[in-house]
Amino acid sequence: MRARPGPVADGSESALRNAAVAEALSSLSRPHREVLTETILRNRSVNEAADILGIPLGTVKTRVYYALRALRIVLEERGVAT
Amino acid sequence: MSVEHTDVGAYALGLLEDDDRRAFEEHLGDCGSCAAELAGLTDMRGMLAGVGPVEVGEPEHPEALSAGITDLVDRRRKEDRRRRRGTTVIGLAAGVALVAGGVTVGSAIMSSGGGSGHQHGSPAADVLANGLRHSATDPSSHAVATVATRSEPFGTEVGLDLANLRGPLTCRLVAVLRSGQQQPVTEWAVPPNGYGVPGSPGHLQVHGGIAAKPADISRFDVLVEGGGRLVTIPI
Repeated sequence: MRARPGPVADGSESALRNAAVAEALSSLSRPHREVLTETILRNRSVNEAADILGIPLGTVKTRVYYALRALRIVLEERGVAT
Repeated sequence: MSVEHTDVGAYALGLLEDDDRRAFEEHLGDCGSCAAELAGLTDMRGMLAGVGPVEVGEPEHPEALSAGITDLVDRRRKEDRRRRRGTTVIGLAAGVALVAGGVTVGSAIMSSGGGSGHQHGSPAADVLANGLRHSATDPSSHAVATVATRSEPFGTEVGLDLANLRGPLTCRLVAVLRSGQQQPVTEWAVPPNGYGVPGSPGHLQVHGGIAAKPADISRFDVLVEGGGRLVTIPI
């Protein structure tokens, strides 16, 4: 699933998309932004992020879930994701 | 350990450690709503892969910040010592996405693989070990490719090492010359389990040759049957 080639992909397109995603991230609530930053963006598992943030693992996982949904909605609204 | 439906988010991003991931995969087999939700979330991993950490906000107290940094450095050291398994793919995807196209020249050949499945002694492994190497990671597909070339009387001998992809796919490697002309190198199928991913750590290594001289090659493209490009390796 993760390696399925998407619509590809010159460098400038992906740089633009990265910028759009970064901007969408900055519009999330702080806990949502924080949990995505401390996991996927910093290449950490949820367990490691729970240690670093000092919050329970279950909270990190739930927060990732809601952050991801919130982010997807923002991206859809902006036409970045479908 | 307990599995919650909301774990689907962390699972979609590849953030669960091995035990939790396996438990969630078991749950996924029985839970239609999680399977449906997963389908809608997997794109997000690709979307986030090329994005660096964002500013979370001002800390309330400056001393909290420096304490946080010290703490972070300690944790980083610990992280370095205990390598976590099963999530290394994220490292490849998130870490290198913005610098796709970096060039490595003929050094420690197998360091990028680490896993089993390298075909030592094969023609592909031989070119990869002794040729001029170029690597790239595609920010969209996350495929990680290393191409090695070696000048031969007939033209150029080419070896390809490919990881972090799942099938089923049929792919081919083409050399794009500075003139714009394309020369096919070889083609192959990717089984569903893929190559260089958790559960299937071995990399794909293939081998071929083209008539053009190494100096005439501008890039290699890994193309997917049915359209699309998995990764481009600039030379």
